[in-house]
Amino acid sequence: MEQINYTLQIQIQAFVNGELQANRRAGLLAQAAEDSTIADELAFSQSLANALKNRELAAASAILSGIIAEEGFPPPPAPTNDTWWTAGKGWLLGSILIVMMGAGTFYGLTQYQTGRAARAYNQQLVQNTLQPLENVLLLAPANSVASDLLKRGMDAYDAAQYTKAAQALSTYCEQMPDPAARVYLGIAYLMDGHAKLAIGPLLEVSQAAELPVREAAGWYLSLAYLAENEVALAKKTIMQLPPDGLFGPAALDLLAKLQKK
Amino acid sequence: MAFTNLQIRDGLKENDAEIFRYLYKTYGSMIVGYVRKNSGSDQEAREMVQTVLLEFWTAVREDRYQESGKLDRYLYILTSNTWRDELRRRKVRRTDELDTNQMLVADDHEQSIAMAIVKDRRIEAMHHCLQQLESPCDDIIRLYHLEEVNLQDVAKQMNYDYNNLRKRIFDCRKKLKKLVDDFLQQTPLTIADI
Repeated sequence: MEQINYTLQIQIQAFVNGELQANRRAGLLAQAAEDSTIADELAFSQSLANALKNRELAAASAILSGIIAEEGFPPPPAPTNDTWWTAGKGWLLGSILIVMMGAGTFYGLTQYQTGRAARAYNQQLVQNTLQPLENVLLLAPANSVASDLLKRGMDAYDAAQYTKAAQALSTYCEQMPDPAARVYLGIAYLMDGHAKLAIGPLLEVSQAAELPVREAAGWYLSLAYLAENEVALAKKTIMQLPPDGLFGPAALDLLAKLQKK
Repeated sequence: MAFTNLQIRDGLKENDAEIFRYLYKTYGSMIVGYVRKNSGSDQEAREMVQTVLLEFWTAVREDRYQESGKLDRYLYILTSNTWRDELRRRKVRRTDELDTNQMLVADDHEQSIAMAIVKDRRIEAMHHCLQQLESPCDDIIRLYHLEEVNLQDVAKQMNYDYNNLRKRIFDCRKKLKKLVDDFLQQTPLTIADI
């Protein structure tokens, strides 16, 4: 370490602080790749900066490391269909499965490939179609705690922070029977890549609320079904939307694409 | 023993080990299952358990977690987002591996600090060893590396000759490095080895 000159040390400091210009960063990394002393110093400085600037997080991490060492590593969750096998009836089911698999290997493989392609196609369709609904439907609730949650949720929604939005809106929806908020909750889940979680609130609203909330719920519900590869349910939901409504043209277009496939 | 969300929030703010243990035992399997199901290896799943719980700790500390929500759902989404970020980051990152004591210097400022700490065990070791560093080394390192005071000002503040301080800082870093190496040798387990 004594061989590291002061100028280089300053450069390393700037590197770990993220203050070095891109070309100088690349230059320093290239130097480090050829000189193990510089590499060592760079790695050491980076760890030191992280340890100093994140002392509390490092302390929490140390506690967790200790616990993991004591407790051992957690096993993944047990499969849910264990009961058949553990009850001793599995042999029968197993035999049937083996015969079926033997007879249908080729068919199964073909179906698997087709299924994967269809799933990818559906995901792509959702990705191309999904747009967040503008924040226009909400009514102000009377309860002030709930109001704060709703505001936080919708602020996060407007800022495209969908994880945060879903968290605040789901808590709000547990307290308030607000169909519009449920629609935004469903959309936040969808935008965040959690189509499965989106289905519950959207389904509830699509069956009960009045237009236009019901229509919005139906549209996003169809996208959630599609994202989950539930094509028949997606089509059925789309067909219940009014063709001259807010989502009519987009719904017709999506339906055409699904039927063409 | 089960804890309420409020107890968990308060416990994490106090770094209560029992709360960490409870979270680890209750939600560890779920996190491992998620990562394995989404093309992660055993080692990645192991790293993700610690990362997700540290991200949760950060969310609680920054009051981003509302204790009235459902914790299992929150942690599920947190796991999913953290894992997705990790996969996305891997796709775009430019990493320069430096073959020095198997250390890795990543030119990657997008990596979350929780993930950086989990992946680099020296950070935890350094945190431990910085507390063992004696004066004046602890002050010199704090001023120069944490508070980013330039060496000339550090020399002034500590009444050192500038050239003497330059030598001193290298000695202090060397001392710290030795402590860290010794610490890592005494506790060779990494999360990936458990």
